[in-house]
Amino acid sequence: MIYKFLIFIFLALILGISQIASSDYLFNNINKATLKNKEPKELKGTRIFKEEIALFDVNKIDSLFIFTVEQDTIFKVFDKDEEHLGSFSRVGRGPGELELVTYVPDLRWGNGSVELLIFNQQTLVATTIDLMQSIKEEKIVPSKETEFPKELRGAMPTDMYMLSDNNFIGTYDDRFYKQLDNKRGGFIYNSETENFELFELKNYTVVPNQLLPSININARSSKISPDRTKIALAHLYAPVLEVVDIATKKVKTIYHTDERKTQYRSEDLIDDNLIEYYDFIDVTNDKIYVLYRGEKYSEKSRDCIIKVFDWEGRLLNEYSISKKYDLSKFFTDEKNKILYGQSYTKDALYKFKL
Amino acid sequence: MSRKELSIVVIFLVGLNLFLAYSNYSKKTQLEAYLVTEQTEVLTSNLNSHEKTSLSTNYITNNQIKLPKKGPKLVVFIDEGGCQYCIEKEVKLLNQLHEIHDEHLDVYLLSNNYSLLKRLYNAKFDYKLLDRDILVSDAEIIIHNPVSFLIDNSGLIQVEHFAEKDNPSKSETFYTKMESFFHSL
Repeated sequence: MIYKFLIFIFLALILGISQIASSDYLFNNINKATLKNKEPKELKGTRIFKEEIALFDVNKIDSLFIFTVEQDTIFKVFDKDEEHLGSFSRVGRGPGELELVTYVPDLRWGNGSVELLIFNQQTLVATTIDLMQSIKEEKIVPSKETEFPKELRGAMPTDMYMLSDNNFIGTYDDRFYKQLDNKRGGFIYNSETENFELFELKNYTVVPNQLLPSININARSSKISPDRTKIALAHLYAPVLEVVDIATKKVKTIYHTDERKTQYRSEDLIDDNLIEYYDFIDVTNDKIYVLYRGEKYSEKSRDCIIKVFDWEGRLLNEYSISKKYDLSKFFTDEKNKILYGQSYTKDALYKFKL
Repeated sequence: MSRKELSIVVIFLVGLNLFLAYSNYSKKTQLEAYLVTEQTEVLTSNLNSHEKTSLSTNYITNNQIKLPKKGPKLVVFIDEGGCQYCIEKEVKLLNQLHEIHDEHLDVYLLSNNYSLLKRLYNAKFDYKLLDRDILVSDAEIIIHNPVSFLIDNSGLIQVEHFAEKDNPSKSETFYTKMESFFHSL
């Protein structure tokens, strides 16, 4: 009798464990099958700009590297030979200074200079910085300042792009400010007419509904194509891409999974219990590059895979990058077939030959 | 598997379950302790957050701030980088005060963007711009969240009010008192 009882308890406990194990197994297999992994080529990197520290954001336009650093001087400009060309702006509250180090979501050649875009979420002002003049005067010299309307309070400072001097495209999350639709979406704002148009993006929900998890579950990174005709968005918590045709404002959603999950548990997000997929994105006119995790968040150094898709979302290539580089973000130089990867934990910039 | 081996496995699994249950319990205890501490801190901050009549003799020293020729005046400083909720709340209350006692009110925005309060917060009153790194009084306070001083014609600060993010009733009480005070003049 005792023996039967023990067997019953044993089976009950094993059943509980196998339930967890089988769901993990199924989940991993779905990922593998749907992402059609072939053996990725491993990339070896070399560290560049070894003397630069406190890297926050790095951008490149032609042969110029623009570093945003968390030091007294915020912007540092170098050429391809790592020659320092100039620095400008300080942390402070005075004119030409910034209170916080900020991302540069977009940069372009315009009005006879390189223009950097920064967005102040407190004042809803987009500043286009004249790079050459700013280096000369050693402070931020705006070529244009654009005031956004209060309805776009949720505009994301990391996802904003210049379509022309007066036209901006970007994404917003309205869950906190509740000025529009209480969702994640996209906008095009014309500062001349002061009108904006919205376009819908895919939204996920959490249960129970909590503000921060419901914002975080919709995390995605974006990039505009160099010809400025389309934007790609890569989702963090689902292997999903969205492609926005800027002319028509039509959004195409590309699923790299058979699963169409739209609802998650808040606690899974709070406990970092969700698989992370596309952590960062860069694009060319023909290709979409994403930094793929395929595992839950970890504070330890992590391997990653750079997946290359065409704009239809078809997988073209994959590169693996070791955790010894622990990449956080990257950008590509397609012409020279180079990938530049930035690591926050290593405080370093690496160069990888594709 | 013999009965003895099975017993060992079951004991191990039961032990594992008990250990995990204990871990959950201790985490829950820690969480409860944290919540109690947090509530205590909120209560304490509420007790300390009454408006205060300035006990020290601080003066408005910056000559960009216009002193009243006669009678008291409320000068309000709002920094563009202040907590957005505080600014929103403060602007609503200032709109009400402006409707009744505009002659006793001067508002200064620490920013280089003039449209800010009107564009984002529906301010109905006029305001002047000041540099963000400015010091307005000899108390040398760096202004972040909205700050209001009731001053006399010598620039002496009689009452000071600092808006707080988690304490909107503090601002409501202050402006109710100011409205009543100006009404009694």
